[in-house]
Amino acid sequence: MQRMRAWPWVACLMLLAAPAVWAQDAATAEAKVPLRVDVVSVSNDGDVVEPRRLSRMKATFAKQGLDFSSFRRLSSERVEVTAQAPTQLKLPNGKQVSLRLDRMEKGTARVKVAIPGLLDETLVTLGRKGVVYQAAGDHGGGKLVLVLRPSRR
Amino acid sequence: MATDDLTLVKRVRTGDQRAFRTLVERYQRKVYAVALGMLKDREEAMDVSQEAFVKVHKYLDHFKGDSSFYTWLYRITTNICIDVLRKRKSAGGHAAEFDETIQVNLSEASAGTLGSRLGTNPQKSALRRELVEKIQAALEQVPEKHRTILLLREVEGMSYEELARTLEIPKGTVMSRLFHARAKVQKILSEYLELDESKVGIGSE
Amino acid sequence: MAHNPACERFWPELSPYIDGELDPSSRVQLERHLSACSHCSALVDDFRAEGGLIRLGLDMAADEADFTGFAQNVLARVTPERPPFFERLRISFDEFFTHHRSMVLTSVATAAAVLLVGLPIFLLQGAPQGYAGETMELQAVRVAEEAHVQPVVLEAEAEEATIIWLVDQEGPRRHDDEDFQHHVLPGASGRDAPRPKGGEL
Repeated sequence: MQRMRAWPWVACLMLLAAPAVWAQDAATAEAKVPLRVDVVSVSNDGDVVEPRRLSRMKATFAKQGLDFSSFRRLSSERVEVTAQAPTQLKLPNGKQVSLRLDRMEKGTARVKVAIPGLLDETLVTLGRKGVVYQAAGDHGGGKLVLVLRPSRR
Repeated sequence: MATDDLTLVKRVRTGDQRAFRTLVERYQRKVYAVALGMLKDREEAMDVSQEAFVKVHKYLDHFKGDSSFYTWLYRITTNICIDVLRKRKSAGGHAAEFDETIQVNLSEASAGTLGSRLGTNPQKSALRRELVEKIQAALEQVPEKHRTILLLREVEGMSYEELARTLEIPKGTVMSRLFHARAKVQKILSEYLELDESKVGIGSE
Repeated sequence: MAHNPACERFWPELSPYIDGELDPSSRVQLERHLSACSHCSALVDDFRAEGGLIRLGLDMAADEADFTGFAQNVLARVTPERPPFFERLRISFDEFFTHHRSMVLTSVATAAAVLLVGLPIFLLQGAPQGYAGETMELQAVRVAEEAHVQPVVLEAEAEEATIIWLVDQEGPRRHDDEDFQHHVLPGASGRDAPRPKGGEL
């Protein structure tokens, strides 16, 4: 009977212990880091901001002297980045984006972005706020921009 | 003054459920009466009546307003009843067919009993009630297809053309079937009345 | 009520006659017969009376029926309106709880335990795995040699945004220009970076 009653406690202990294990920096090898990746086409062809929320991006670009009139989001994906194999994304201009977890340090992931033939690597540490706009080559009469954002799970 | 059907129908189309309730309450008895007449089963008649209103609501957009709402509702009810009867038949319920070619001998029946007995005197309501009961009993005795056609004609006032279309039978068959139905009911009723003539004793009035 | 053999010819016409479905010439003939034959005109009366009785009978039968809740039932069937969200939630929870009581209890206990331990950790991190840091930060950029571009990093601090722009290299590439191949940018700032015009790119 005694032994029978013990199992819930064992289970509880395991439950309590598990987060403690998680709290440790998980081995980079096992980590799966979510990331939101949008592909936006910017150009001076027309005056389209689609979706409307890209007007913020347009304003940011304008402030930095990158004056484009049209901002069109071509795709938006939530990807999971791991250390084992790169996550590949195909861009409309034929280029391939590869995202890989480079390092995991104190719960902060560093992601390596590569676009063969254009970009050997961009290293970005992830954070709960902010955004990284990565130019990704020509497209149509304009440019393609890779937008890396934190993923809301 | 009560709101007319068409106004209510328009209101139902705009999503006014109270208007639909008014229509249901206005016609529930009549719809049930038709269903009961055709199906001869109270419970089934009640189910069919509900079904008829549900269908009316569902297909309200199809109601063009060229006939009265009541007529349209009636058609829907009888169509459901006909379906029920067909299903019954295919389930082997009432398979007995009535041969249309059999000559009905109206000479054996005492003609004029109904007409003269019913009369127009309102004081004869007791007699009327009795006759109604008899006719219900008579209707139960006639084959189903005769009952159906008689009800569609007498209660719904369908033309022979419409009867032919609704029942999917030639117009000639409508004519002969209706005649046989009436003759049969008349015969059964006359026999009833002959039997209790002395008991009721109003026939001489 | 005697009838003569000639009557039988008219009998099939009695029904269409009262229904008004008899052609005019047949009607004239029949009416002539009816005026002379009491048996047949009595049959016509009977047929007419039948119709009235049938209608009356149905009315009386309907009077006996109980229509309490009839309209309500119909309305319930035509308005598959879903109850308010919380009502639905409550009903489904009730049903679930009734059928899976032990499972629910176990789940609630587990959830409580996880929440107790997990919540502080969650608050500590506040985001999915890998997001312990507060803001997205660029650490390094290295462009491909064959692309003949140079990276320009623009920091828009107010918007918490970093733009990595690639500018075409003008003229032949300088051999000693190693910096353009590998920029390590701890806290990179765009202040020193060139400000290219979008249109010119």
